[in-house]
Amino acid sequence: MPETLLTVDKLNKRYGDFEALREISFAARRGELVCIVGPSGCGKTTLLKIIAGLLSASSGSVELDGTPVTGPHPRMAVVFQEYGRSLMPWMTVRGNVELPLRPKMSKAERRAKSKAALEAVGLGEAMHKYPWQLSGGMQQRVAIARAIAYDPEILVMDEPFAAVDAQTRADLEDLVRQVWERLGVTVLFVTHDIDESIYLGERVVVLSMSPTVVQEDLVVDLPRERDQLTTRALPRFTELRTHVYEQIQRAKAGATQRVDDH
Amino acid sequence: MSVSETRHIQLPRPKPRVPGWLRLPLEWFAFPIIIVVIWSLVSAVWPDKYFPAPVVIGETFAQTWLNEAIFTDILPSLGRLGLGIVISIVVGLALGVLVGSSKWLRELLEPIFEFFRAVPPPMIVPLLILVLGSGDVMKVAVIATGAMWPILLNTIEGVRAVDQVQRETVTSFRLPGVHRLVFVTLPSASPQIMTGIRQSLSVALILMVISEMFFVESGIGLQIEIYKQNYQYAAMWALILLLGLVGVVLAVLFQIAERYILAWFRGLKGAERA
Repeated sequence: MPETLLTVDKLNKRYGDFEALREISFAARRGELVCIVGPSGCGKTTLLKIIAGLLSASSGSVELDGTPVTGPHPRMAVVFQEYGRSLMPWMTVRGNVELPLRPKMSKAERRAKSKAALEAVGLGEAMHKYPWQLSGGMQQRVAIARAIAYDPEILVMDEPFAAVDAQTRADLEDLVRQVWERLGVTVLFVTHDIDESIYLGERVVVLSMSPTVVQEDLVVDLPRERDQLTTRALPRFTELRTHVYEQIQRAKAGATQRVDDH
Repeated sequence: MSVSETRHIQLPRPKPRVPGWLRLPLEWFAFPIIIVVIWSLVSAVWPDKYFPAPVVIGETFAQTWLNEAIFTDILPSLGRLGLGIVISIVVGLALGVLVGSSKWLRELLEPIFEFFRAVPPPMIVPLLILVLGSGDVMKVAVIATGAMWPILLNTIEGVRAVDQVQRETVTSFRLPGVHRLVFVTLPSASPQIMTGIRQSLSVALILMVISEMFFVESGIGLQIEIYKQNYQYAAMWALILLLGLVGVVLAVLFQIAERYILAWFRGLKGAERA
């Protein structure tokens, strides 16, 4: 099995005259947890939608497991930022988790899968509830459970915790690390939060302002065991954070520079 | 008074309330009963041939409808009504899903739909009589074609309004079309579909009567023609009573269905307000 699972090669996306993405290239190894960080409005979601096969690129290519991505890939699951709108309010938590499994397996198999996935995210008790009966953090857990139950090779998450409070966010970050370690799945995690990208990632891909390029591709050499208190207190964590912060500031300044040049 | 001191404050005793089992019947029947009582009093003091006493109307109702008329007039009418409603729902839903999911089809057909909806449904009765004759087929067709529009137009709107993130979610999970339709599109559109059906029910009832006013051998609508010609006022009032009751039964059945189908929607709205 090839070691590289996902290859993004010279990806361009234009909307008319507007150049959203320019020559984006990076790769993710099988089983890696890669964070993509960039300033707000830099086209992170656009990039992610192209990788997820929900949007087509203007040029360049995305390859997953050696085959070009032209539509949603059967081994990829996406967790969206807007958990409230990504879950179906007319279905129970279990119904939501089982929805993608319906065409693929029997009811008994679905029941087993959804039970295991909900227990993995700590929501075994809530399966008969409706999403709107749960807090925002719990709703996003349901969305993660739905993605896990789908049994993906790669899990793509688009700023999944942007809309929850800080404490819930810390819990969910640890949940992502835990799921990643336990399932050995490849994770592509998009965020605008520098701390989050370093805390979560084994690697961080830093994007610039639009037209968006890969500003830097950085290995996070922190211990594999992450902890909200001790990891974030490590000198190395602070160094990496400062470094990425400077990169993003430079990216923003560069963007302003280019605008001024006109 | 020190802080640690506690005092028992007498809370106002809740007012004696209407027991639960009585509340619904009271809500439903209190006002009708008041009307009947007032009407009875007024007609006892000033008798009027156009407004017979409720007792007379009640007697006439029993004489006219609670006999073999149930089988010769009421049930055939209700059967055509039910069939017309079912057809309008099936056709309205099917067409609505089809048109609502396709932008170009929608743009192509919506002006035509608006035109047909604007035509008062009774106007198509003579046309349908010419095409389909004066039998049951025509009557059911009148009900179905008239009652279809609110369902069709609401379904188109509901299907079109499926949330973008929900669409992307099911696309990313590669959900096949049938699953999408059954588990996402239709439930998402169901609040609007139900609104359409509610509007259709009253249209259907009107059309049931009208479809029976033209050369018909049986039915509720035929009877009112006969009574009019014979100046049978009590019988006409009894007929109004009958149609009102049919309408109420339809409304209750609809509410039961809506309560079940839209339980999630009420919960969602409640959660959003909280």
